[in-house]
Amino acid sequence: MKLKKEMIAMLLAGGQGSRLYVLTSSRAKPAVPFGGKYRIIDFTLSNCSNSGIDTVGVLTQYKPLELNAYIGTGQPWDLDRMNGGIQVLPPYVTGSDGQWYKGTANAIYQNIEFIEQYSPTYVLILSGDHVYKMDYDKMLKFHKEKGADATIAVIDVPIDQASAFGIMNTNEDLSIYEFEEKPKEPKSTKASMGVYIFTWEKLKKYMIEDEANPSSSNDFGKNIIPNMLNAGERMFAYPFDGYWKDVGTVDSLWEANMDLLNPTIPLNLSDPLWRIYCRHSLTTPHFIGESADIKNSMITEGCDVEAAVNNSILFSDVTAEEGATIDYSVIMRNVKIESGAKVQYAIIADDAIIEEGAVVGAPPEDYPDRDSWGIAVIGQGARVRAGQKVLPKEMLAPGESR
Amino acid sequence: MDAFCILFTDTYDGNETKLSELSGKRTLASIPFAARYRLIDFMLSSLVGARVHNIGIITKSKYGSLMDHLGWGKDWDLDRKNGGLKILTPFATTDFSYNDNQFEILKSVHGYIDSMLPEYCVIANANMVANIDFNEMFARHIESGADISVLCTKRLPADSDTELTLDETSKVTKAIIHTTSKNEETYIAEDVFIMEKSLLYALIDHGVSYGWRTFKKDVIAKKFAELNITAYEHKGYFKIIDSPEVYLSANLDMLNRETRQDIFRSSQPILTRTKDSVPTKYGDNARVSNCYVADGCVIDGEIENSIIFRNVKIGKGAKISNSVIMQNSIIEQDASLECVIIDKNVKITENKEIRGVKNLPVVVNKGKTV
Repeated sequence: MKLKKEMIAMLLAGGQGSRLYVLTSSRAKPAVPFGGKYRIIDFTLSNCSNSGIDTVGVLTQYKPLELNAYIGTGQPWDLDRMNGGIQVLPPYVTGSDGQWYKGTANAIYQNIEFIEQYSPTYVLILSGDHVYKMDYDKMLKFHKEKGADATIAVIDVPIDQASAFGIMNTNEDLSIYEFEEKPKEPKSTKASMGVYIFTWEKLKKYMIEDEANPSSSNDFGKNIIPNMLNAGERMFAYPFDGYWKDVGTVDSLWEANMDLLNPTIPLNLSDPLWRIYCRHSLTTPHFIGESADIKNSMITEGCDVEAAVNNSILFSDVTAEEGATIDYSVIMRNVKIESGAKVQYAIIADDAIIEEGAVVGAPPEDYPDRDSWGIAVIGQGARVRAGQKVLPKEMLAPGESR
Repeated sequence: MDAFCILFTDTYDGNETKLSELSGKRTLASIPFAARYRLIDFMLSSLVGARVHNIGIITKSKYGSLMDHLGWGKDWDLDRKNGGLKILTPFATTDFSYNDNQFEILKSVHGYIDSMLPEYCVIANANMVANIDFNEMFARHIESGADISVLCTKRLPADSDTELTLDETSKVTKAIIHTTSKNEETYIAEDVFIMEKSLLYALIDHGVSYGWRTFKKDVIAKKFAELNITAYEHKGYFKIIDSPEVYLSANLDMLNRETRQDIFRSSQPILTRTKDSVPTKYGDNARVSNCYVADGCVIDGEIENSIIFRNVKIGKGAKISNSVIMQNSIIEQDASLECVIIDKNVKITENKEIRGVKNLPVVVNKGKTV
């Protein structure tokens, strides 16, 4: 028999993250590495732990192997608990049939039994797609104060970008009267962050109803929230103020990594009051050789650097030989960059090899036609052979050799 | 390897005082080393690598930071139901006096030894930097049928080292304490022994009755004729840390790629307590050459030939060479350090200059502001 919890978290980690292309062709988006030694899911998991939430269901579906192994029993995030803790929830069969998760709401619907074990009063719905630090306990206090049935965390976005988001139109007391998905003419700048707190009994009712509707896409944003709004439920927008980045595209993933090198960006990973935890890999300190020249970069443990590194992030165990140059790039775990290779404005995924004299990416200044420029991406374990060239925006699939 | 191990975290040969500046408030085995380790990590990792999962750690005094570091042994895969790490703290009785010899201490942990199921045991100190192949040492021990195996290295002897003469089967035929000025490479006995548990009991009883002090001086050096002692040569890097000079040079040895490939080899990695630090950030003014650096640092100065531990901050214009800077220390702008060992939580303020030399490094104690 499990102890009752006031609030548990359900983390939607099943999506493909198709706009990350080769970076997610063999792993789920929340497992994509970030910031030298983290994975995207570390932010949401650390936020849960730091907010005092000790029970988290992680809904997986797409290519979950790496993610499941990474989560394990949840010990790195203090989620390895006697009562509660972290639980990976894949789709399952019941007797002779079963279903893949059809949508975000359906994924939660199929796990009602998991949630009911804890008889929670509130349920926090999260995704593992964003880089941000947030105290969900404060959001819960807001939800309770307002007597809300649903609270949606919102962040102010620039008005010229608002049409890319789900926009909440609110009254002065922050109650939501309208919700517009990607409006052409946005009436407000409050964008939904995909972080929701629901009073569980209410959410359960709407999910069951939605599941019975065959024409529904079983999605929170498209179905559950509009349904609740139209039925006159008490919905409130909780304003979030701080760094928040959706790392769902190659460009935004690259930018978010570069943000770590920018002292004006308020994402402080080393804040002792709000640590970001991660699962550590077995490694050693990093070595900076005699020929190395490092400027404005982050170097993680295990690296062996003899190259010139500028404005870049080297994840753990990267080898960068003498004569190689790395600029404005994100180099993931265990990559080998051989001598004379030139890597600029690129993301190189784990275990890839950039051979001698190869050239990957180029600076935007070299491309006056900005549409033809982009971040070059080399997939996990891929190999760029000696002297070969990978142009901006080009991608190598995992394991591919060019 | 079917053996348990008893690790001594201090030496019992009266030589600890040479390192008192670094070991002042911590036991020898917990002295920080190579940017993110403590001396005990090398022995622990070597043992775990040979699947020795029953390890008793003898503590004497000032063992707070050691216990903090070890915890339940999770980081060395020793947090187990079956076996694991056990910290053996000293008994305090009304007639308590620090047992300053290995035999009385082993007698006091008789209960632990009794509870050990394995037939063989490893008795060792934990103040050396080495990655030892215990599987190999154990196999040779069994093969040789010897009573005791002692680890040896071939090097120039230091005063009071135990020099061994070996026959063609590696059996110890003679052992002398080095005191002469004759200086050529020879086999030196080190404080790592393998023997059967039954022999251990006999040696403990004998040792206590006869007032023996250490295995090396009283068993190996004196009993090679009565016992069948075989030597196992460790051919890789091996350094006993027993003075600030050796501490500095051993740390700087880690800057050598071959040495790192030996010590930090992937087939038997050196495990240590992990912490959640952010990767190190190098600024626009950073000029770093030939350094071994941990996570969590913010570096904007010039460093060469140095070892930098976790969470160290080095300001713009600071110049550091041939030095070791331990955790959380801050070297402010334009400060200058050469051949300095900086302990944890130290602050070297702007423009300060501290210069030592390689064989007389300056040690700045924990928590000090200069």
